[in-house]
Parts: sequence; structure tokens; C-alpha cells
Amino acid sequence: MKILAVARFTLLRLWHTRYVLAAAVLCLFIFGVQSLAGRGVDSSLTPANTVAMYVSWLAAIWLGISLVQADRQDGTLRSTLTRPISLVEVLLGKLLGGLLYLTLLAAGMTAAVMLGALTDHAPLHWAAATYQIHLLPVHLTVMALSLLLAQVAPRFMAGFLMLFARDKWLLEKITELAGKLTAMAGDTLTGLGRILFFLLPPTSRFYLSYSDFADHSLPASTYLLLLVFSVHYAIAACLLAAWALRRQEL
Amino acid sequence: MSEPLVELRGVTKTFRARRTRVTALHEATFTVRRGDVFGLLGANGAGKTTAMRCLLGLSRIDGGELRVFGRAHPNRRELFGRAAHLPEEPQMFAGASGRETLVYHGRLCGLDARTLTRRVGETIEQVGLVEAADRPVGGYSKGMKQRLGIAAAILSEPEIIFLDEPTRGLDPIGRRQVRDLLAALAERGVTLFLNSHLLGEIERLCNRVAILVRGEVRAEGSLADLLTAKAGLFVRFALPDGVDPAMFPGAEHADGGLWKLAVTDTAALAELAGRIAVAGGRVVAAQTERVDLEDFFLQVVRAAEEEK
Repeated sequence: MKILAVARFTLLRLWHTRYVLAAAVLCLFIFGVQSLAGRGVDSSLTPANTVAMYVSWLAAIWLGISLVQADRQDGTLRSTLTRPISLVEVLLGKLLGGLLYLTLLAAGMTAAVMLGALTDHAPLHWAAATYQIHLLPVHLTVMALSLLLAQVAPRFMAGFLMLFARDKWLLEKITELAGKLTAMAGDTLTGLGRILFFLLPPTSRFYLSYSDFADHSLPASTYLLLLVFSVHYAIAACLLAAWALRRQEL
Repeated sequence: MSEPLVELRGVTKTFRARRTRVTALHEATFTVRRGDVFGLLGANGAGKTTAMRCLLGLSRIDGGELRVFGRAHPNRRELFGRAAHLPEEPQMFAGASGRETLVYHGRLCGLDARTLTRRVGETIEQVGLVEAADRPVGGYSKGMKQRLGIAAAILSEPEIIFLDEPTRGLDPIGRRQVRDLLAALAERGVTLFLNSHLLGEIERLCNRVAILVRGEVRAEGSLADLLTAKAGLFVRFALPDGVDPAMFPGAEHADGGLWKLAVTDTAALAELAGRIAVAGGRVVAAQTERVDLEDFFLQVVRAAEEEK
């Protein structure tokens, strides 16, 4: 219940700081893109959906790095923490609030894409229509990682790192490193260490999952698995971010 | 005697700043009991806020023993479920209205929907923010923000409220409003722990005080007892014209053309009365006079400085 209270207040905050207005403007922009770029193209939902995906991705990064910082700057975080609620619950509530905002944004952008397509008499595909909603779990992961990075590094650096999250070269390197780490964990870690290693998914998993989510159409079972993974990752990121925050003057 | 809610026994807290060490609290000892209105006094930098942060679990102590609600390490849920904290400047999101802010705090305290609606209405009325309740907090005056902070603090009906400089920066009207609110809470039996260097406020509100000087508790106890202990026996006397008052070293002018002199005990009083009679004067009154908190505070601080 307390996590929900923080999520509701986060949404209220986004509403009062005109994030919702910004979302409406973005939806209009997507509508414009669909109307212009989709004209005369058969599978015409693709260009607008791609733009919308990047908009959501940037919004997730921005929310991740600014949600807690804004509360820290105006002291709301400190006053929240003088209530019977833990820091981890506060962070989870923030992520949930951010996710609700991203859901509204995704729904709005999907509506804009569909309206744009309808006015242009373009064919509608179920997969293309649900594309933005389908991306929500991975945007939760992006937001969680941004939130974590913003607690251990300056905001601009956290944002910069996140912008390279889909870089192909980086992806390959990290995949390689992840393979080595996993092998090493299997060889050297025992008991609790191994459990912890797999409970706190390495960053590489995030990159891989992002790539899978954004670039391929996944079977339902894989999608569900990655959905669970996203929630798991968000909780792990909140635990680590809380650990980092406790070492700072709030 | 009522149960102790807060106990500090020889608490020490040191901060490391680059190569130096600053002792914020040195073997601090005091007790706050249920129903007390307790004032922690001290100059700026005396360690008042550090003591409060340690009590609220926001800073760790380096030594000694600290108990809140009888427990050495109450967890956050228990502590903030039974206690509330009003910081020096209550910080709230400027875009939300006063009512929205209170609803948020009420939900964090775990109040159910019905209780929440009732308590938000009651506290808004109690702190006198009925007309401003639905306006954004960003447009509130400092006094209104402070009252909203108090409303948020009393929302869940805590057993003890920790207030850090609750009237600092307020105009006389705002100060009076906050003081009346706190007096009303004290009357209802809520334990109040106030940090302040505004001695007038403390003297009006508190029944117990502790004085911190450079992290050390130099005086602690009931305000009445402390001030009476420092009270003096004063003799007021009249002298006939032509008598040189210098015959009575230390005598000061008093109202009505009289003279006033402090004596240590009744023997000294008898001796002085004899001298006054010899000089042709008369003793008008001899009475014990209470010092005020400001005088007492200054005496304690000076004594501490002389010891150093």
C-alpha cells in the first residue's frame, strides 16, 4: 500500500510538473510522423512506431535519472523517510509511478500511430498496434538501471551511459564479458555467492534483453520470462540504489 | 513518574572533516518522559540537531547508549509509526496542494481510507488551513508551511513529536500560532521534544529542559527546579538622604527610589539589615527572585567556558 502511495504521489508530481503535457505534445508529434512518413507505404506503422520507441526509451532514461533527484532536491525524499516506510519501498514506488507514466505515454503514442494510420487508410497490424505496450517491461528495466546509475554517478554521466545501451560494439563486448563472468561464477563461487550472482543480474543481461525486446518478435513464453526478469531487475536495482543512497547525505 | 520515551546515556558522536575531528556530542545524557514538553537548548553548533538526528536513527552514535520507546535500536517502522518529526523547514513538493500533501503522508503512515479522510479534515481545521487547503503549497507563506508540517506530523496521532526550531524565521503572528498549536498538543498529552535557541519560546512551552554546550549537557531537569536553584535572595531597602550608597557594595537602583542587593543566606541578610539600620535606613522587602531562562542559560554557558 505504501509503495502505491509513493507511486500515486509520483504521478501527481509528474502531472504538476507538466510531464503529462509533454507526453501529449509527444503524442501529437508521433501523429504527425505517422501522417507524413506513413503515406503511401504498405507496412506504414513502422516509421512512427520506431520514433515512438526512441521517445519512450529517452523518457525512461530521463525519468530514471530525475525521479529520485527531484525528490532529493526539494527535500521531499527526506520528509518521506520520516514516515514508517523503507528506502527500498520508496524507490519501488518511484519506479512504479514512472512505469504508470510510461504506460500512459505508450498508450497515447499507440493511439496517435493508429489515428495517423486510419486517417491515411494504412493497413493495421496487431503486432504493430501493440508494439509500444510490448516494450514497457524493457523500459522498466531501462528506468531501473538509470535510477541506479544516477545514485552512483552524476546525472549527465548516467544519462550518457544509458544512451549507449544499444550500441552494437558495446553489446558484443559486454556479451563476451558476461560469458566470462558467468563461467567464472560457476567455477569459483559457491553457495551464497552463486545465489547472489544470479539474483543480481549482471548489466549484460539488461543489454541482451533490451535487444531481444526491441528488435525481435518474441514467443509468448520468452516474453513472459523476460517480463519476470524485468521486475526482478527493477527490484535488484532498487536494492542497490538504496544501498548507495544510504551512504549519502539525503 | 511516567515512563521514559527517550533516553540518552553518555552518547558520543564525532564527525570527521578532512583531517580534523569534530565532537558534536560528548557523553550527552538526558531523559524525556511521556507527557513532557522537553526543550533541548544550545547555541548554534552546540549539537542539538545532531542529537535529534541520532534519536531519529538518521545518524549513528559512536558511543554510549540511546533508547527510544525503551528499545536500543527501534526499527524505522516502529520509530516513525509512533513518532513524528518536524524539520526546521518542512520540505514539501510545491506543486501539490496542502490536502494532497497530507493525504500522501497519511497513506505513508498506513491510515485506512476512512480514517485518512477524517484525520486530514481534522488536522487542516486544527492548524487553521481550511481556506488554503486546496491551494498549491508553493504559494504558502513560511508560517503556513510550518503549520502544514505540524498537520503532517500530528496526522497519525504520534506519541512523541520531534520539532527542530519550530518557530525559527516566523513573524510574531506565525510564532504565536505555532506556539498555541504546540501548547494545545501538550495539553492533549502529546510528548514534545523541541530543539531551539529561542529561549522565550522554550520558557513559555517546556516543563523540562537540557542545555547543550559544545556537545555536553551542562544542565538538565525541570525548568522550575533549575530556575529556582539559581534564584537569589534579594533585599530591597530605603536609605535616608545624605547616606552614601557606596557603603553597600554591589547595591543597585530599584523601583520607587529603593536599593537592591543580593545576599547569600539568612545570616548575611541579618547582617545587612543591621548595617541598614545603623545607616538610618529600613528594609522594605527580602524575597527570593527567580532568574529567567535567558539569564540561566547565559550563566551555564559562561560557567562552561570558564571551565575550559
